[in-house]
Amino acid sequence: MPMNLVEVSGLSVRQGGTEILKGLEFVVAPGDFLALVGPNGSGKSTLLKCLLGLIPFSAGEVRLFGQSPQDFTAHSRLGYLPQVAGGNAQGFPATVREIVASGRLPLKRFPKKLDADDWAAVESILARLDIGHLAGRKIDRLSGGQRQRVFLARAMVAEAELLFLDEPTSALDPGTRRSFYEMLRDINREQGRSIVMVTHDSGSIGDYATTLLYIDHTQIFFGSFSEFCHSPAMTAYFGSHAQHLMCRQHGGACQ
Amino acid sequence: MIAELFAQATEALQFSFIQRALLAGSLIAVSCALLGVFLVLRRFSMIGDGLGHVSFGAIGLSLMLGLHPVYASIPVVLLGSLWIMRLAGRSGVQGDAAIGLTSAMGVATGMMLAGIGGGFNVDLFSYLFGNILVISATEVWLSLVLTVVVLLAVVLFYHDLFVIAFEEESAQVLGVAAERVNTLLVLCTALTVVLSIRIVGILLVSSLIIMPGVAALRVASGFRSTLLLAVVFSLFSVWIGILVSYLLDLPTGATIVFVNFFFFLGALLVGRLGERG
Repeated sequence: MPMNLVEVSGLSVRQGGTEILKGLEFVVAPGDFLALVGPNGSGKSTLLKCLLGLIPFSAGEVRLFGQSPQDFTAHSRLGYLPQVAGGNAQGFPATVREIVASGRLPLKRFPKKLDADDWAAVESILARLDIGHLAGRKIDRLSGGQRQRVFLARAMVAEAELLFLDEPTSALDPGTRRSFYEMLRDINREQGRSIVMVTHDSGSIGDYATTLLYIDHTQIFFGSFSEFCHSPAMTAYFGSHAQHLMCRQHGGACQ
Repeated sequence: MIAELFAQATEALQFSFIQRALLAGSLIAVSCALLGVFLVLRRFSMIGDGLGHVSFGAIGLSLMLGLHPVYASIPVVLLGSLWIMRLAGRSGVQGDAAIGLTSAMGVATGMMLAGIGGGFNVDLFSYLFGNILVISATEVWLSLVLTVVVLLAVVLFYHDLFVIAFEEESAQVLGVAAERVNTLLVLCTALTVVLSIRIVGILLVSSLIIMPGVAALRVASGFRSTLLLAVVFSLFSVWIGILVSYLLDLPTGATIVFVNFFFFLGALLVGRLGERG
């Protein structure tokens, strides 16, 4: 049986005396597309950062490819698109090509040098995400949606097995969002890569994701969409009417 | 008139103190420009100012203890740079506040020691404005070593510095040892600041770090070209500044800063024209 990519048990995160997350238990198996859902401020991005070792946890256990996040070394197996990607993008003197190429660094050893294969991989991913024409453009000359595609390209360019995406569709218009989800579905189903995606887009995600983790500081639900719609815990959390509306938005995934 | 100035400039180049100033100035200019681009992009450029002020306290202490003001300041300023990094990192103090706090303590320490010790006030305050006449051969050698270290750091850690400057969080996920690279960056900055003090003085030391990078960012299109252009602006500012200050009997540090500022204005103009075009 293949090893789970992510294993979380009894995870709690405390920041400044406040418990942000408490008692989370879930796994991400190879091929999973996990939607991480919950209200604003429920701890979704905190969870993602905790899994990536960017912030410490106060209790429980996290294994990422069998390693603890603090001692993690398999960076080339991970791709990450942060919620606010490119914090310093304004006025930053780099082209799209240079930004995307930095996604190949986990494959390099000191002293890191990019070679012809790396640049070919950059051109290939840019073409696949339909942004090849932006390759020579400065990053701060792009729209929010274009930038999001660039950062997704950076997350994907090393052919990582597991992608962590934090609200990747927040800057996209509805049409672009749909094609973006279709592209993620291809990445997940055709290429077999696993995805963990934070999203508020409950209306679409049921069509693409395979599992759902609903948190509101504690874990409300973890399982498949069909289980989600009939989960007593979700009914208790939402009230049956609200749950029904959310399930209907999932395009029949709950039927 | 021009021929006369040219003759005077040629004559100036015969003096060993001008030669040492040009040599040390050129080396420091390269270091400042390279480090400055990364510091400006990381919104951490005022660290030069903060460390300059720490060196004021350190020089005060050195003078009081009868030690060499520049060499004895180096370990103190290195510690100051690590302290700022620690405050702005794990202690969670905002970067600019961490620099401001350390900067104030540096000046206060210098003033306190000057008040207690007395007798060396004139020496201490001379460091505020720099004095290229007193650059020693040892300081030129130290500047050479520093510049080689900075160049090696930029070449060997180019990609790491690039991603950290762009976004530290993603850099860590990309497997970059951000804390180690940041430590290298601030330690190089600390050394650069101490060695720059003779040239422009404590009060203007941050300008050598900030101005060439800011000017290059207005006009360069890629990351490598920004670094290269910042070095060019920085070198010409130091060369023109030292010669003009000698010819017109002006303060060297201030003249270098003015030349840097003219480069910045020119870059601003070219950048605006480029945007319209």
